[in-house]
Amino acid sequence: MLFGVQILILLFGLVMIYFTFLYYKRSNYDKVGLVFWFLVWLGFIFLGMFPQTVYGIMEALAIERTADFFYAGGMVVFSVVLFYMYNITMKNQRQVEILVRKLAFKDAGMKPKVRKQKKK
Amino acid sequence: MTQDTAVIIPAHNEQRHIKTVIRKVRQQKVKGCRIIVVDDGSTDRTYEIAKEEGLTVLRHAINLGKGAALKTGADYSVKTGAKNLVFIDSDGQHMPEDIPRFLKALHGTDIVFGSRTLSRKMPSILKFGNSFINKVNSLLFGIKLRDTQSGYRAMTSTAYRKIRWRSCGYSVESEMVANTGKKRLKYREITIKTIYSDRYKGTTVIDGIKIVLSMLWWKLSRR
Repeated sequence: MLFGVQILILLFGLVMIYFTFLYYKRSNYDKVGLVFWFLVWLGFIFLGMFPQTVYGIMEALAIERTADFFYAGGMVVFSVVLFYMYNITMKNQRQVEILVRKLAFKDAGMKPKVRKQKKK
Repeated sequence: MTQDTAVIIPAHNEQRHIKTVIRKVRQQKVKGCRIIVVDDGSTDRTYEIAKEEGLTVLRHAINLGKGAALKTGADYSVKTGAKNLVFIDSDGQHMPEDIPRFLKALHGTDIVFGSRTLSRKMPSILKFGNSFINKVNSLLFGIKLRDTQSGYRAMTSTAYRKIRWRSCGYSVESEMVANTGKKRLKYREITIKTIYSDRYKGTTVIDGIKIVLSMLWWKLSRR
């Protein structure tokens, strides 16, 4: 028998699978991205339906309640994703800044710097 | 002929003031001085108005922030041979009449900071925020200034190369001060008059919090 929280996990996972497929159809990512996110959501549903599969890990980590394990795991995943997104955002911001500056110089008639190749 | 001084005016949606600011800067008739306006992705007529004045106008295709606009203007100026850089706001807050004083004060030093006199017209929250940031700056970087947030500044191109900042937004002023302390550059402070024309532009409380957090980060970072 499924508990209320398991029904929620199942519904959430299915909705996310739908959105994953929808954004794939909109060409937001390629097949590799589609498969990766499908596996993430399927794994999410699997763990929600069969929490006993993580009991071994919980015992090793001395965590008693399944919910606590998922909270802790969720926090770790959230932190990693946040850090990853931060890095990407900063990188994109720098690249945009450089590009916008280059365009401004070009419009003002400044010739782009040509890098001299080193003689071998 | 190389024009020694570049007056850099970053502008974002300043069609009301830009023309007056440019004309007032021109009236100073500083020898070997050129004006460079950096239009930071304005959606009004700032770019067109500045262009009509017949000077160099660099245009950001999108709005990047004040720090990025200053860097574009400074990079361009240094690459085209400027020896001294003067930064002045485009909203008419700063008096271009002070430019000769900045250049005079720049002799024998690396950077000159403009310091606003505390007037009654200055919003109270700005007074408090400014005073707090000044104290943190002094504590972390050993730079003692009465006003670390004024955008009216002058520096040599050599100093610019040493303190070239990373901030895109309003924390640029603090990063300049922080880098000045870290690179142990010589600095001076001169008093300037300020006119507050728009209560809703400029640094907000959230910007202030970001600035203080950034200052801690700059203290810890190597650069």
